[in-house]
Formats: sequence, C-alpha cells, structure tokens
Amino acid sequence: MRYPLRVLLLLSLFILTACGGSDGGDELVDTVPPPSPGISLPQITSQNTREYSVNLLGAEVGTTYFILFTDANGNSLTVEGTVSVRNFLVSDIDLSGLIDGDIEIEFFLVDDAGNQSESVISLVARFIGSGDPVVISGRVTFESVPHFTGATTTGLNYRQAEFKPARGVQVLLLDAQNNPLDSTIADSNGEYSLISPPNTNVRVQANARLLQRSPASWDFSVTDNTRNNAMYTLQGPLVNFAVTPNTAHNLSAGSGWNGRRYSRERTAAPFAILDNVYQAIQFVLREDLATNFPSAELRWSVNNTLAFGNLTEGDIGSSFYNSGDGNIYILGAEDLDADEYDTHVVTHEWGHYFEDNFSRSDSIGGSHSLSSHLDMRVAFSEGLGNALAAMILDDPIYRDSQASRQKGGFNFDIEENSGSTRGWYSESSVQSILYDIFDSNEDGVDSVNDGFSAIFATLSSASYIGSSEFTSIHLFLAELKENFSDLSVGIDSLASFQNITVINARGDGETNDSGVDSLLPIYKTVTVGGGPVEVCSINEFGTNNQLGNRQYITFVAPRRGLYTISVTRASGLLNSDPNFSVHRAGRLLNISESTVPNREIRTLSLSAGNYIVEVYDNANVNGQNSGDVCFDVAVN
Amino acid sequence: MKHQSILILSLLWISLGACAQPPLSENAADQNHARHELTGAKQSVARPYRKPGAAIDFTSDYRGSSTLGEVDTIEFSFTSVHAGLLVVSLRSKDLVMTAGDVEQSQVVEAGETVRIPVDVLMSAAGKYYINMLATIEIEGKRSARAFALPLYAGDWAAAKNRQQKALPSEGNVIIMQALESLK
Repeated sequence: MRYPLRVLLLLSLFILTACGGSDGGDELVDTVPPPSPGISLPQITSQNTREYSVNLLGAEVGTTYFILFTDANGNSLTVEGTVSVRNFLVSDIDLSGLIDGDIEIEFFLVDDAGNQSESVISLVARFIGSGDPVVISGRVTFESVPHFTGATTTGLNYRQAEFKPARGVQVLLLDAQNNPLDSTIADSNGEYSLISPPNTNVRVQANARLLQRSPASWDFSVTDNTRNNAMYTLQGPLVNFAVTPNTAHNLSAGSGWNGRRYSRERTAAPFAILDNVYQAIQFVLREDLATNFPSAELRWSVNNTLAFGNLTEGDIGSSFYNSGDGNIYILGAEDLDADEYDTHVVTHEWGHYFEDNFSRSDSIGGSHSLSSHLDMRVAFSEGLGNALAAMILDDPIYRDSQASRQKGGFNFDIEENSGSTRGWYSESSVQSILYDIFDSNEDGVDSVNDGFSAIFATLSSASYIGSSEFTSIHLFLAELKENFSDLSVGIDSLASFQNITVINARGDGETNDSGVDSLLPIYKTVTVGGGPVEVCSINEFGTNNQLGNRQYITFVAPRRGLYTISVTRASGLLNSDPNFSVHRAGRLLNISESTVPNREIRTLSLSAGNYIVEVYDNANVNGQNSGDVCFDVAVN
Repeated sequence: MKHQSILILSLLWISLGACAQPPLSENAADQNHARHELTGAKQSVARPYRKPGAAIDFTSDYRGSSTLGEVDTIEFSFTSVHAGLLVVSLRSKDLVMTAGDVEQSQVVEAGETVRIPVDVLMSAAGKYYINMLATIEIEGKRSARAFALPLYAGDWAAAKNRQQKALPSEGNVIIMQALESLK
C-alpha cells in the first residue's frame, strides 16, 4: 500500500514540475535531494487521536513534506504540505481511522526539482482504549562469569561474577496470551522502554536475539540444537503496570551456579554468548556502518558435548562454526567443557563466520593446536580466528575453561611472538602477525600499529576473494603489501620473525621447509602436455589436515577443452591410494577419489584459466596406515 | 586402504541395524560431513572447524554398541604430538565405569601413545558418555583438550525417544524465568 501511494505522489509532483517547463539553454539542474530532517512523534492517545501533531526539525524550507501513517491492518493516511519554517509543526492530523497497535510512520521531503530525501520510518504506539498507555521501562542484565586471570590458572571464577547489560537484545511486551503488543531493542546499557495498553496484564520478554534492519542489518539468535532450534527467551511474570506506575522493571538472567554446581537453569548462558556477537558487530561497524550480516544462530545446549555424532542430540564434538548451515555450535557440557563464558572461544568461531561471509576461506578444518604444523589453509583460518577474537574483545589472552566445576583449562597469549612452531604452516605465527598489525603495542619487531582497517579491506577485497591461490598467510600478506605499501617494511619484519618470506601470493621464495625438502616450493607447477612433476604426500607432522599431507600443483589451461589429470605412484608406500581435487579461484570443481591403487586419473572439461590440483594419499588424510609416498602428476 | 575403511564403516552400519546411528571417529565424521556436502550443484565443502586445543589425538576400539548386563572392555588411546607430561582423566556421570574414575599421568615422548583399558557395564538401555580430559605440560606451559565417547546399550534409540518425549513442548521458544526486580 505504502509504496504505490508514494510512487503516485512522486509521479504527480514530477508531472507538475515538468509542466512548469524549462527555458532551455544551459540552466543547471538541481539533483541534490533535501536532507532528512528530524521528526518528533508523540504517543497517540485518546486525547490527541483526532488532532495529532508532528514536529519537523530542521526541514528545508520550501520543500513538500509527505507523512504516511499505516496501521497493522494496512489502513493508511497520507498528510502532505509545504514546509514554511525549518522547525515546522504539522497539526490537526485525524488518526481516528486507524486501529490500535504499532503505527508505522514514513516521512520524506521532495524539493521543487523532484529530488526526494531519504525516508525516515518510525513506529509509534496507538492506544486509545480507556485511559492512557503506560510506559514500561527497565534494564535487562545477565550474570557474567569471568576467568581467573593468573598466568597458570584459567578456570571460571564464579566469586567474581557480575551482572552485565544485555546489550542490543530484542525486548517484547506480551499480553496474557503471549501476543506481542510492543517491541524494542535494549540499548548499550541494556535499558528498554515499552508502551503498555492501560489496565492490561502484560509481561516483558527479552529474547536471546540481536536484531536490526537498517542501515546495517543483522539477526543473530541463540537457539537450542537439541530442542528443534528453539530460541532462548527470558520472561517476567504477568503484571498490570497501571498498578505500579513509574517503576523500573528489570529482568536478570542468572548463571544457575550455587557455589558447587549448576543447580538452577543456566539462563545467563545464551545472553553471555550473544554479548560476544554484539561486540563483534560493533567492531565491524567501525569499518563499515552499512554492513549487512547474514543471519546466523548460535546453537548452545547444556546437552552439547564432545562426542561426534548427531547435532540434534548434542554430539557436536567441539564448539565450531558449521559452514554447511552457517551457524555456530557451542559446547555446554558442565564439568567437562562448557564454553558459554569462554569469550574467546565463541568469538573465535564467530571469526570463522566472518571469514566465510565477508572474505574467503579454503580451510579444510579439523583438529589443530598452536604447536601444530598445519596445512597452510587451516593455519591461516585458525590464526585469523584467534587474532579476531583478541581484536574484537580487546584482550590478547585466549582462555578456555574446562574440567570439573569449570575450574581447569588453558590459556595462551595471542601477542606471543615466539611460539614453538613458526612458519607459514603455523596458526601461532598467523595470529601473532595479524594481531601485531592491529595492535598499538610495539613489542619486539612489531612497529606496525594499523588497527583493523587494512586487515578488513584486504580480507574483503575482490582480489583476495578471487585469487587463483589458496587462502594462506602468503596470499594475505602479499595482498596487504600490494594495497598498503606503507606497511610493507613493517610487515616483512613481522613475517621474517616468524620465519616466513613474503614475495607473492604463491609463497615463491619461501625458504622455511620445516626440515622436509619436498615441501618447497609450496606450489609445484605442471605444464599441460609438458611431462609430470613429482610431489610427495607425507605424514611427518600427523595426518588429516597437517603440513604435507596434501600438495598443491598449479597449471594453466590455455583454452577450453578436455584435460586429463593423472597421479601415479613414483615411490614410497607400496599400496598407495592417490586422490586429488581440482580448484579454481577458491571454488572446488571436482574430487577424484577412486579406490584404484597407486593411480588416479580423471578427464575434466575445463575453460581457459589457472587451476590448482590438490594431491593427497588417502592414508595420510584418514590417519590409517599412513606414510610417505611420492606421485608423478601430469596434465594432458 | 580406503575401501577397507569404507567396508568397516558399512559393516558397522549394518551391525547396528535400524536402531542406531554408528559412532564415527573424529576423522571419519569430518570426512563424512565434508563429502555429504559435496553432492549437488554448490560443490563446496563444509569445513569441519574445531576450536583450538592441545595437540593430543584420541581414539578407542569401541565397536559401537554394548550388550546389556555384560562387561565391555574398551581401550582408550591418547597420542601426544609433543613430548611432555601427559595427564588423562576419564569420568562417567552415568557411573558405567566399573572401577570408577580413572586418572593417569605419564611422561611421554613425541608421538607416544598412552593406552588405558576401561571396563564398562550398563544395566539399562540408553546412551551413556565417557568424558575425557587430556592435558599436556611442556616446559611448564599447559594445554588441554577434552573428548567424549558415547556408549550405546540395548535399544538405546527407544530409550532416547522416551527421553525426548519428556522434554517440554514450548513451540519455537524456550521460556526461561527471569530474576526480576521492580525499583
């Protein structure tokens, strides 16, 4: 209803303007829309419903204002006129034809040239039953449990728990039948204000949900994967607020801890999890105020444990980001591993969401640790997740509580530069470099203090996302140096301290082979029709997702056509099972995993361009009877 | 080797029949997940992300189901990538470990595996968990990783369904009562 009406209004104005004609010649055309003015909207009550007034603040004089009122049934009323003074009162608006409830008010200005200001849309409650509506305000809080902060202790410190504001959560006013009467978003202090009909029993409900539609948009909620992904909500009792006017109605969510165990419902957990996302959103908005975050759920349950299996039974295996469904799963297993208060764990997984949605990840996932020699794609993704957690939370100490009464666990310092494993295959090196680029603390070789802007710009750039190479520390730093040349010297120092050489995105010139000659160069090159190149799949550092399990071979297809890729055992494991996958600019095109021993061959129809063949022995990616084996790879 | 593992997994499926989903090792679960996502036009792999933790691998020889009322011996294996002091604890909230909780400390070499046999006994159908916490201390720096192994006894799926029916039906929201104050 609203838009056709607006179109008609604009059309009529345009026709009127056009009929006014032009004298022709070189007259300048005004294409600047008038700025959006402020608007003051009082509540609609029985006293003012037939003579409602709206204040326009700072409106451009001479423009035509349009105010459109629309109720929940789609009934609408349009008021228009000319602005004669900057602070202009539009009065005597008769809203008696609209029904009670939320009234959507859209307002915009149009100047003589037909330029329209941006629309301002607001909601105002209309209640004209008997008596005046009641304003209900209060604060939503949750009990936050910090970690012990000693160097060797990292469990949860329940004695230091405090109630914190549930920032940005959705707050509803419900009637006795749980029908919504009004809604709002709690502010950065957890405070809200709602309008209740007079003499009505209502309850306040705080949803574990962050919601905004514009100018930036997001919708994050905390749900229970073991209960049909239902959303957690916090409810107060039914109350007639007309009886207790002018009181603050505060809702609090407790941890449920009684000093020895969780004896009551863990109502604070969903809000504690959500508060990390609130911080992450604010962090990204500093770079782009109009960011649109794809919706996601953070699925937490007291049943979420470390067994791998059916997610709906809570067997989630780990807190993790599920790139398949776009949601984050959080552990809740009391006395073993519950992560609702492990802020870095939650934010690390949100970092994977960020990378997946705003950048690109070629990570193959899997188990990892700071000391691991990892597949470089895993190393970059995990190091980025750790670094983002430290940046977003403004705290470089990663803590993960575990064990009986959540009193154990471990921690590590993301600022630490001297990890036990340093190189392009180390998440420890990646997090150290990224955090040093971000932070203002000049430690060791760190002279870069650049904040998040350059990191964000690089991760989200078209050249990074569309790169022919896999995501890695080499690709990231090469792109960063290319686009922010003033950082180049400082970045090279950081990389060098981590035994990383950055010349280009392929890692050409890299000298750190971690003691295994066959690991370099990182990308081997094969020429179509030019004979085979040898690569080796090794288990020196473990299996599945570790360094050297998989080798990368690049080739250029000169034209569209059929290309046969063959991988043939050359030496090593006698009964090898070579497999390969083919990638182009981050897209997985094909997986070839036959069970034919010692040889894998596949013919593919490919267009002209750059490709990566990822070669691996099956034993080295499933952990059974693994070993070192070399293959000849050819493309014809 | 790949077809052998597929055969083993297939046999596991068959042996469990229609009543249960077979337990998968971490690697097998990862691969199963990833390959499942490969079907269809999207052609992208769902990445099995994990949170950071100690470089300790866990495996067991649990065969996927247990007979009610019979003692089942399971060998739990923990392999540390690095040398150091490895401390492993095994607990069951369901008290299915006949000798009670287990805690074992051992100085290990890099790549060394610690094997811990545990007897379990389940007298009622259901799904039970053995919870494990493994920590490795290297040069005074501690790192940890937790694991859990589900055990399946008798007609555990029916028992699970009974449990699920007991959950309150609350539509699309879970209502939690607030601590409330009027000021």
